Amino acid sequence: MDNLQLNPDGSLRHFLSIEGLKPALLEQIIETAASLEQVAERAVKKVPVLRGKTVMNLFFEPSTRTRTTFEIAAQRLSADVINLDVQTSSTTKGESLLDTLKTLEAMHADMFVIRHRESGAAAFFAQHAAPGVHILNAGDGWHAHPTQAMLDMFTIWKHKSRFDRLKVAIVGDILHSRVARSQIHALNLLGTMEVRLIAPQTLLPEQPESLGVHVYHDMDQGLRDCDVIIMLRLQKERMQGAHLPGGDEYFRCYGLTEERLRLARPDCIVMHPGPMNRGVEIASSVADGPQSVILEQVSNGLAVRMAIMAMVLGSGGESGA
Amino acid sequence: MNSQAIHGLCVDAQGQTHGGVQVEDRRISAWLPAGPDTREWLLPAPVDLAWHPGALEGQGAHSLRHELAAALRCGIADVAVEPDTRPVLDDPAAIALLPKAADLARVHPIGALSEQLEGEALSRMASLKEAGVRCVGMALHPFRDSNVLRRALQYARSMGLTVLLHPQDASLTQGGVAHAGKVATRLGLKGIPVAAETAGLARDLALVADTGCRVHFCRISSARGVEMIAQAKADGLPVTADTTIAHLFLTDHDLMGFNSHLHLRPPLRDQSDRDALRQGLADGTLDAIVSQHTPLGRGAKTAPFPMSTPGAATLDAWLPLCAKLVREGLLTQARLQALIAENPARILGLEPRVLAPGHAADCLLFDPESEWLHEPEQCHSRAGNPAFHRWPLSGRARQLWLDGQPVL
Repeated sequence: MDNLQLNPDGSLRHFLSIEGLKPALLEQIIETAASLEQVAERAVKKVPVLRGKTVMNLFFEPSTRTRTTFEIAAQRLSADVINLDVQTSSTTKGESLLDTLKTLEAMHADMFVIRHRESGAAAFFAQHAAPGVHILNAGDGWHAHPTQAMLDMFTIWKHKSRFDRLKVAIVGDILHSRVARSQIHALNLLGTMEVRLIAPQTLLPEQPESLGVHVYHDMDQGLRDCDVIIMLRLQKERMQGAHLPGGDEYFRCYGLTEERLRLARPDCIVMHPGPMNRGVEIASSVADGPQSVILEQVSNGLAVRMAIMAMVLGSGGESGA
Repeated sequence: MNSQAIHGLCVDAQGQTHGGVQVEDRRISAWLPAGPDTREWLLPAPVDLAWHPGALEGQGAHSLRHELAAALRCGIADVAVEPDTRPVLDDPAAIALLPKAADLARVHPIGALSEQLEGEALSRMASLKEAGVRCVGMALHPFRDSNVLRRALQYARSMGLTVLLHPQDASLTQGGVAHAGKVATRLGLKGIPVAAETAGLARDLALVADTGCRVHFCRISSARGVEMIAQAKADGLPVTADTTIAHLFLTDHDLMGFNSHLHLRPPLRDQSDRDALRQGLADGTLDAIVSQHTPLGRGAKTAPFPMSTPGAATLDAWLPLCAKLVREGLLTQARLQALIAENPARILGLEPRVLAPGHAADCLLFDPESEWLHEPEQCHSRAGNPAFHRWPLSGRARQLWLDGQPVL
């Protein structure tokens, strides 16, 4: 998988997962994002990095928000963008997924931004993509959402400037979260002092410590002295199944309130990949409070996605063609 | 009277080596003395307990007919077909569809234990028995209702049939695609915990104790499962068990990179499970090694991992990898013979498959040192889903005799 997303010279051919990347590459993404950020402040919000290139947003799972940020990021790099929402059912065969890819490849797409509900889908498309076609993973099942993780790293970096003294807590439904998996790898690669997961065991994967984290079932203990708190969205259906009891028990045990936030360091920042369930995993007063950087994450998402697209399809992309 | 000498290194039940067998009128009449240049092994003709061929009819690339011919060329004399075929083996008419010919491995149907493998109604086991069935089972289908399973075991026992069960708790298995462990955690795959096997095994063993039905447990995948089988045997229950060649040579770590060719049922588990399965073969807890050969077209694996069809083609690798366990020192040649011929034949209710004077001359001459690379053009199977693609292997079938007649 590592080799699949890298060119022989170590540059990015695809961007599929954080796992298997080198710390220097993650730092390069952050630095590139920092330099591209100023584009948004110009009168003409465009640079010609991807002029003449075609980016196709191929979403097998609906997501207006994420798709829009990819769309704007590609447009600011002067690429032509086409959005495709593909309706598939759970019985759709893998071969017909490939037919979709091959048909669109024939229209001379240079990059596919792909979201699919199955883990491994991005790797699957990358394995079958024609030479010179690049795959960018916009979320595959529970596996990875690497651009989200990098925009979170960019946000942390802007506030904390370094990772090696940070304690970062990720709270909530880690089991079903591609965001959490990618964040954990990114935080560890960037040398974070301690990564903590806070959740009941029903929302954790098997042997979570093997990911290089400390696990807390008690939120008050887990939040102590943290520099960064990342809250995860809790899908409402989790509270109707057997993962969690109903009612307000989840919020009482794992909801982030102002009172709980005081257990962390005074300069702790609060993050959330969105969309939030106010009153389910996070109190509105915290989400809108002075320590929240949640809206900043959204705007940082643009710069980071521009950086990754430029690195994959810009200079590094040519050598993979 | 037909008389011939078949040369090859053979080992008897006492572990003594011989240089071959003398065959008189289709049966082994005497051992031949060991010679200095006897390098190739003479084995009792192998019996593979678990195939999932899919469709019974058809002439396609990896049709049952083609794969049975390929089995013979791989040196496999007898193959048991699990009942999850199309159509399901719950009816004598379906049994009659199984191909039979001199140039095919002999096929032994495992009848369905319940109608359509749905676990709700008993199958017509007496009719199946009249059609030649000696064992009944559920293939990979779960038996959700313990009460119906109890009656099915009682009825099978009354008919003198052995029951083959794949132990699993249906609700713990449902939706899972990989072992619930570190690799599934990394890849974001829904896990199947070891408890899916052990919870199923606990129930099934309780019903064996209750009914006295003879049960063979298929595809044990975990260390804890091996322990439970050992305990059941120590308690005197009439049980036997097997594991698959894939589970002896692969672990969930091999799934990294989303290798859909290793999407199997039960899932590949971790290193400690693999080691315990190997130990279980050596110490006698496990009675057979099966290929669980599941030939599929290439398209079945052309999909993101969770969407791919589970199952792998293992026909060509089965015997070479079994032989590897002897070369690695885990098994003796005598123990290997028990695991791939004597025990499976006994479980299927065949004539004893033993290489010794007085027994039928069903034997395989096997060259354990012939090296080859597992690539499509080197394989007899035409399936598009090999588990051991590009593995360097050692061992090729040279000659196969059934009832003293050469068939390869």
